[in-house]
Amino acid sequence: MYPLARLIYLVFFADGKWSLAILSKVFGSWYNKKAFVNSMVLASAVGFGGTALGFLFAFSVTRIELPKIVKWFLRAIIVLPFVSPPFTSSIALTMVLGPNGLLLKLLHMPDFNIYGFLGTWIAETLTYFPVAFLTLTAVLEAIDPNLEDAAMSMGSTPWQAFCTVTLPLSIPGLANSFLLLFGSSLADFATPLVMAGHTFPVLTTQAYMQITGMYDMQGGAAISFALLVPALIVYLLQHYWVESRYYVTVSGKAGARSKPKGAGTFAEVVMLAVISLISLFIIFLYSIIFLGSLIKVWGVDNSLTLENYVYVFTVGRKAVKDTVTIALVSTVVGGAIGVVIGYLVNRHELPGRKALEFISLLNYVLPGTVVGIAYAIAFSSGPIVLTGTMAIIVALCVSRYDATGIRATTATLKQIDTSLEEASLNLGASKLTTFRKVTVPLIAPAIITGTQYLFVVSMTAISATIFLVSVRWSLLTVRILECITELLFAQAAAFSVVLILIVAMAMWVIRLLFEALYPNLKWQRGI
Amino acid sequence: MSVPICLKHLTKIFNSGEAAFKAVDDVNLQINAGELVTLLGPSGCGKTTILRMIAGFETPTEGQVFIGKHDVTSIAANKRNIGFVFQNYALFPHMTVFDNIAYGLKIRKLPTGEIVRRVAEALETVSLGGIEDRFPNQLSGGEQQRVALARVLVINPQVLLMDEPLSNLDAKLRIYMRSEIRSLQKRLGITCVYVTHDQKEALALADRIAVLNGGKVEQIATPFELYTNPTSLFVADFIGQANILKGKLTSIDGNFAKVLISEITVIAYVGEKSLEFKVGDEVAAAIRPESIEIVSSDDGTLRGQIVSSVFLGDEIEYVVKLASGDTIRVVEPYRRDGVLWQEGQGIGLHVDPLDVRLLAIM
Repeated sequence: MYPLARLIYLVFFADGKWSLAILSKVFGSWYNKKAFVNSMVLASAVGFGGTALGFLFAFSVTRIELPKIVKWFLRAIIVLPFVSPPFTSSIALTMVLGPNGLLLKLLHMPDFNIYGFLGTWIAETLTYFPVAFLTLTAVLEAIDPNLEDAAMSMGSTPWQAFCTVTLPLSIPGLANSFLLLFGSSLADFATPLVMAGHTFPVLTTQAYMQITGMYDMQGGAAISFALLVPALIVYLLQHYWVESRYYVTVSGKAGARSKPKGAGTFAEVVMLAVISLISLFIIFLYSIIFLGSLIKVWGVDNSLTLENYVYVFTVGRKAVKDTVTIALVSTVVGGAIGVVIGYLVNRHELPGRKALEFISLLNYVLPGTVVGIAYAIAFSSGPIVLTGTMAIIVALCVSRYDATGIRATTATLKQIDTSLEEASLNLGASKLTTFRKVTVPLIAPAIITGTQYLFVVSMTAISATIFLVSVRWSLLTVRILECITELLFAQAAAFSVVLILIVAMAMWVIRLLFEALYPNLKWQRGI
Repeated sequence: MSVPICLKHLTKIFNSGEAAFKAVDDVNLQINAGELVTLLGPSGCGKTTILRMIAGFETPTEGQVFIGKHDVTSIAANKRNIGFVFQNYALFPHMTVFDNIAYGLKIRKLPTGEIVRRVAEALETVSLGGIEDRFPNQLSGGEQQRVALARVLVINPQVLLMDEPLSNLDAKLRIYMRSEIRSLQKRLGITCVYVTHDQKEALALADRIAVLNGGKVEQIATPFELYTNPTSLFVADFIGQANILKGKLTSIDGNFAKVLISEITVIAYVGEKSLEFKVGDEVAAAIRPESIEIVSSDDGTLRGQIVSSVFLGDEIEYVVKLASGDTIRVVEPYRRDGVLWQEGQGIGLHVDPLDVRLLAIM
């Protein structure tokens, strides 16, 4: 809360007096106005594109009969963007469609320009549609296939049933997913930085340029404030409007669920074709990254080499070490805080409970750029000075991304009857022993989810942390960005591959660790 | 070595936002050592809240809880040495049966050898064995119930509290388990408070039943006393079934009183309570369906007409309309040579005044 107050102070008070001068000065510039419009247009486009794509994937996984292996494969592809650094799709797209791009050479289109709206849109859609997928899968799974049976028993074809029953029932989910993607795109920093170029400025990059290029902290803060308003509107819409409009589709006792009906053969074939194409494209992009990391100079000297990895572990060694350290510390600290807060919020009547929930959520919904700038302002002067330390980056990661862990803990705790804890008290255990021996093992799955998420985002975060890095603490994502600006795409690719591997390994290790700690965790998966 | 439980002026008020809700209202109860008392009442009557206050899960707003000689009102739940069996059993899903039962013993830091021995004993007490390594979700409902019992018995609790422990079992198992619980409790001689909303269960299990309504104790008595001599309209209606006929008290003569219900007069037994009533009072006469006998229309003390009859196998249930306009239910056992009364038939009713209770209308 404190950093945000400092941010607002900086924007609205010039020389200690209340004024709108800074805001009007910044938005008097046509370039910044254009950035605002661009941000909105881009966010809407990503919202639509990502939701459509997410719906196609979600529908195929939940409603069309496919072999298990295919479904597993689709889910695996969708997880990829989650564990990748934010630049991955941008780098790959540049390598494929940028200057000297692979496809451009193949298709003989040397004049094609990927930079600008098109490239940013494609890259962001590919990066964020998994969010839509997850939201919509949950929605579609909650729709009882019996409703489709009912429609078909009244004479509709599968396609008609899809249009009249399934689709209308998923509208609240679609709206929710649109808003989520709109927010993500609005807050996205990494993609436009690489893909947008000078002709297509957006708010996040403008704020960054203002601060790092022109050393204008006030201007940057003002731009980020312009980001904050639409972000809050989106959040409020999502929270109060969409959530009140979810249809209750689970009515009474769920009887035997019938088989999902699909959407008619023709529609299904079209959907599967689109999905296959997109999946192939994603796989193609990721293989390009991998391939690119093994090649000397992309598009110029295509001989295989391991030099780039040598570069990562010599020049980039500090970044790797720092990032992993920060991620580890954030994960441990954040995991502990998340469990404790989730527990207190759920099991105790806390006076400031609502406020606590609100603050942790606020950090979560605000665009990273805003939070990053706010932290940079707040901790560079005043009572607490943390600039350039690891503490500031950890504090940011924890306060910003712990909401997921808290939510997972809260959701799991809600499903655990308090009688389990009372039983433990009744048998003579103290509150602390009960928490340790009963509560924590029961919410272990939520803790795993929370810590895994924390680790991933701490490793891949950029939009907020870029304002906080220093000589003493550098981050992998920032190194990747530097490589891109220096056009060292092969090295950037190598960094990305290393990052993905570290993240994948960490997720696996966290899982193993918990399984070793709580060997009886197996009950969760139903023996 | 069992101890009595004593509740003095126990009151619990729940504050949820603006509205305060009095769940338990000045309850005084004395439960003797080794006795099994059931708290019986409709949902929301405060029975579970009383039990949870005895266990220490809820703090009384007012009043005290005594276990043996000690006032335990301010003692934490984990220091009271009380066994509590939950409605959903509350077995720890991440622990085996052995670990579940050993939990309380491990907390008490007993040596491993003794833990193993006592867990085996406890399992034997509830007639289970050979399932130590299984997880709760691999057990049937009845087995989970026994493990939950074993888990509290193993710590040798001073008293045993049970919160609707049989409500998640199917009908046959419920009847079997309740006799198991009954004989186990008698064998161990442990003081037990048992919460239920099932009156059959309460009647079958209890030494005494406390009927609760709106946070207050309506009546506490043995099952026999409660059924044959309910002291309030609520109890008469809640325990078993009763036809309640409301009317005016016209005369009191020794142990019997006459009640005028529209045009008909019913004679009711008052007994030693005759001083509580006076002529002219609005009162109710309560008659059990099975204590009414249907006779031919020229016989009996009351006249009526059969409205409907339902054949239930072992008995036949009639709805009879009286001359006063009231309808009452009559249950007759089925016998091969008995009379089956037809719908619409005019009949007479025979009621022994000793089977009619006179009750005040609140």
